[in-house]
Amino acid sequence: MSGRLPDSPTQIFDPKKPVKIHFRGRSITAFEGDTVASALLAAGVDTFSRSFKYHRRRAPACLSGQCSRCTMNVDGRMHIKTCQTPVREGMVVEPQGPIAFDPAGAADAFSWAMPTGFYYKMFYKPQWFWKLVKEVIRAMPGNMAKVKALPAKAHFDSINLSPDLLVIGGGLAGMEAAITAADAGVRVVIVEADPQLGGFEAFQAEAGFRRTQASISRLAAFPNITLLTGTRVTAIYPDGLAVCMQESPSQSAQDCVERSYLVRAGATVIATGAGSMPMVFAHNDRPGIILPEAAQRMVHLWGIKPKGRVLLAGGDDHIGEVALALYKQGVDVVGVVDFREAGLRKDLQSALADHGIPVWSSYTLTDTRGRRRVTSATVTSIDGLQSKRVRCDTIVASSGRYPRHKLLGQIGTRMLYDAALNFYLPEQLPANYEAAGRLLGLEDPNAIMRQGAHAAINALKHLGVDTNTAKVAAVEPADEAPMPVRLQPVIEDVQLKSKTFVCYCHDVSAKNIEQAIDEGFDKIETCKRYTTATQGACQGGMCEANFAHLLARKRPALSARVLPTTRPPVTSMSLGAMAVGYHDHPQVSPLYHTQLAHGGNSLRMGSWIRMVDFGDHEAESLAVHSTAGICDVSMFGKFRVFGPDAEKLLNRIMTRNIEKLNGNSTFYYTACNEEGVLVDDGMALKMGEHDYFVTTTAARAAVTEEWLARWCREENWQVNVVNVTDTKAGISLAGPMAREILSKLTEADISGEALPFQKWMHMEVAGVKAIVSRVGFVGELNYELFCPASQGPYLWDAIMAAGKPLGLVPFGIECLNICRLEKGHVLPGIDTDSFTNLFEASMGWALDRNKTETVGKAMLDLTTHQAIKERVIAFSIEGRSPVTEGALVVDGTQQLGRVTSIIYSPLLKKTIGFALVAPHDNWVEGGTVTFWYDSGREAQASFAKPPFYDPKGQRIRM
Amino acid sequence: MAFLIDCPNCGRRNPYEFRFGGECKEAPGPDADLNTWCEYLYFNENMSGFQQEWWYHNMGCGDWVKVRRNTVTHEITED
Ligand code: FES
Ligand SMILES: [Zn+2]
Repeated sequence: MSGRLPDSPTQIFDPKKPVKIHFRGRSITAFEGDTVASALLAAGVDTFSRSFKYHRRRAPACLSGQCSRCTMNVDGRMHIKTCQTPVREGMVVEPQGPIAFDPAGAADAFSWAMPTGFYYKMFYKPQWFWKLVKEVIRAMPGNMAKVKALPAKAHFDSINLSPDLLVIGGGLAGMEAAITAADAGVRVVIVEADPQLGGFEAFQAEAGFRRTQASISRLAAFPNITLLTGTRVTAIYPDGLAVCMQESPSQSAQDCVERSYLVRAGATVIATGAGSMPMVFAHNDRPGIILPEAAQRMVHLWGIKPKGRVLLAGGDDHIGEVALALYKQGVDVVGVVDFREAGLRKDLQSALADHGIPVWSSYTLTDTRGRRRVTSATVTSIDGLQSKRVRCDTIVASSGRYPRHKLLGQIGTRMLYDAALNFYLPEQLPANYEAAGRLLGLEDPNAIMRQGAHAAINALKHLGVDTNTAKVAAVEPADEAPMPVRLQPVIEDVQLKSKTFVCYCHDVSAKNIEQAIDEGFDKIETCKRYTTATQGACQGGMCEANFAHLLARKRPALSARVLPTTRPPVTSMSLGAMAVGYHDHPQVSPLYHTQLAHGGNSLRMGSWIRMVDFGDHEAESLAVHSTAGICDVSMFGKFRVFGPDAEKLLNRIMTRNIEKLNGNSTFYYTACNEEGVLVDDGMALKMGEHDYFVTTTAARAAVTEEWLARWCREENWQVNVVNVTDTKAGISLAGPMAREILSKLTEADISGEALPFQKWMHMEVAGVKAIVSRVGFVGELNYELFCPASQGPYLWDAIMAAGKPLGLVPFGIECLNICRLEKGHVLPGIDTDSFTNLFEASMGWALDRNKTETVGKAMLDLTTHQAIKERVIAFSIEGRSPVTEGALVVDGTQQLGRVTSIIYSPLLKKTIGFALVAPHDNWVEGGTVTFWYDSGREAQASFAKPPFYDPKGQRIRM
Repeated sequence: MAFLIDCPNCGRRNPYEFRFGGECKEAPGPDADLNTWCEYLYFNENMSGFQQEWWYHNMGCGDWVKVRRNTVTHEITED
């Protein structure tokens, strides 16, 4: 069965369920439960990526999402950590750039030409040189993906959770915390980055595995625990928010490729554990040099034997335990290097000796060789006197534990270096946070579990839960002290060569760092910025401990060994998964499909999809003036405002006095904000006692509800506002033939006497109950019909059928724009901006000076006497003009304002429009308006007084 | 934003359902002078600590809710 080890209880893949993935054109059989990286390793893939600067071969070092040497392009998505991505049938995996033969690999030989601060030094002067080479240099880095548009099928989603307690990390400590809290009855979410619970213990040999199984089955009994595996926490905030990312949460890419969870918890336990520090020695980055956790995961989780002869190196007993465990799985262990004098624990020593595995105590690694993969290691005694070459195909090396503290920095908790332990411990956490487990340096499983429970109890106290219950109170806090870490001794001259990497992401060597320190960058924050160490994709996860130790060694006097600052995101995440909470739902009118069927061309405008035209907006406008046209106005905001205090509310938001509205008159209103700025206009109809039908501009439809609620939020008024925008279709029928068309469809008397301009009535049109009003927007005889949305398409078709023989055409908003500009109607928000007050919009006439309770009136009253800052003017140009909206209005070199609306009117054979401008002497009859457009062209127009068409308004009164 | 807002109609809800409506301020009377109005319109307390503020439940009941929130910690308390 495809080279895997015999089935074992610890494995998490299912050898009976094969899954096919594609890698560089070949098909690889993996199994359900594999990650992409485990599948590739099992298939013998050696090189996963190329390094950033020198294009050196790189392969997974941690298999736990820390080193980011395994990133590839997965299903078209860039920089995916393949060791954290479950396989999915048909997945297409591609390395990012050439991996087998990389011509840029020559860079490795020229590393001397790329000193520390390369960018700063090489291209500082002359400047022209930098301009010349920057494109070449920027294209150079290894493992950099070309940005491609995501495949359209990529789907992201986002889920909000608000538990009482969030536990970050599903190891022994995290599980114990979750169980303790759940037992006390609170709702718990537990997040684990791996696909399985258990953390560190899950990939230890069977004893650890049995312990995790016991915890997992206890945890499973609680319905109030929500378990998120395969989920990484990328950010936490002091107020309790955690942002989590789940890669491939579903077996089908169609469902979702990445999901974000926004978890808002009352309290949080951080139990992110500890990882291994890489050892520093020359050429420590070759493929095949891995951390202990990677070797353990390969063997215990996925049944993959580390390749060939395996050499282990480290400075704690753990490395000896790993060596034994690997040996038991049939791995060819060629030796264990221990840099401590005392060497391994006696029992480990004798067990290894029993199996004939040599142990070199007081030795360390100094160098490696190998091209595609490591082939040998140089093992040197600590005194530097003895040295030998050991042939090996895999090196498992680590200089000790290192806390995964990244999240703590984000809530303002610093990690303090404990010189006795050689370990970083967190200072006091904020009240709503607790830390637990191996993160605190603990190693004994029982201590870890007790301490996890204790963290949960503290969290429960913070939540105000009674912790004096028998079960919970029985837990004693762990009193075990953290175990010290032995620092790796360094033999300066043989170990710290130029290719001794500290930061693997950016190829920063120990030499580079020493050079930076010598140049004066000897504080961690400046040294980090100068060398770019710890700033790569791993975010310092692999390198910052060694980086800090190196600094401390060079500058013992400085209080070194503070860690660099941490920021979100801790691990890479897609913009798609971050943006997904915000869904874009454009609105469509009930007449949308009907209009498409009539040849409408649609366009997204604001929140609506509207019809721009039906082929030729100029022809449409001529038809409106000569025969008739029909247009969808369903996107007007439509509201029913009713109740005994309806007038009070409407009078507050409208600048005119609604009390003056009676009978079947239509009522045009304007609305201002408190600054007196014009924000809206529309129509009000009185449907009954204290009952109004109010329309607003399309752009304001979405906020009117909020606006109306805003202006009675502190009153106890009896008034109801119902948004009926979506429940009613609106049709505008305009043109000299409009009455004739309408009369074919209704029994009602619609003569000029019965339904004159600015009046409305209920009537049945083609059997549909409609509110029909006479308005003047387009400058011709104009009816506006509002009917139930569901009957809109039917009514539209009925009007079209009746009007076709008389020359009726559908028209879109471009034509509407021509008609309203011909009539000189200013559109709030288009021709005005958020500073234009009612006077400046030339609508001062709409302000009822006698009212007291009008929003904005106080400011308008107080500023009446002030000179205006800007105003809306109209202009016209003979013939067609190339000037467009946004063109500047200028006087010499001075900018006066901008063109807000401009369009060619085929009826007038002129280009007409509005501009929002500062006051100027030219704004008089016969004055000239000068435009600056197309980055430098000038054009002239004449100032005009609208309306351009039918100034007496006879046609709208027909 | 990690806090939740108590809506009198909808219960404790995610603040992303709401739109922030600014500090609670008392509008000047109709006879106030221009300075008073400008103070009110263009200046805020910008509290570092607890302040009374308005939130509009636009993805919920559509009511304006008054909230007392700590602008530093996001802690929300009853008045
Ligand atoms: S192997 Fe994937 S991040 Fe280290
Ligand atoms: Zn609500």
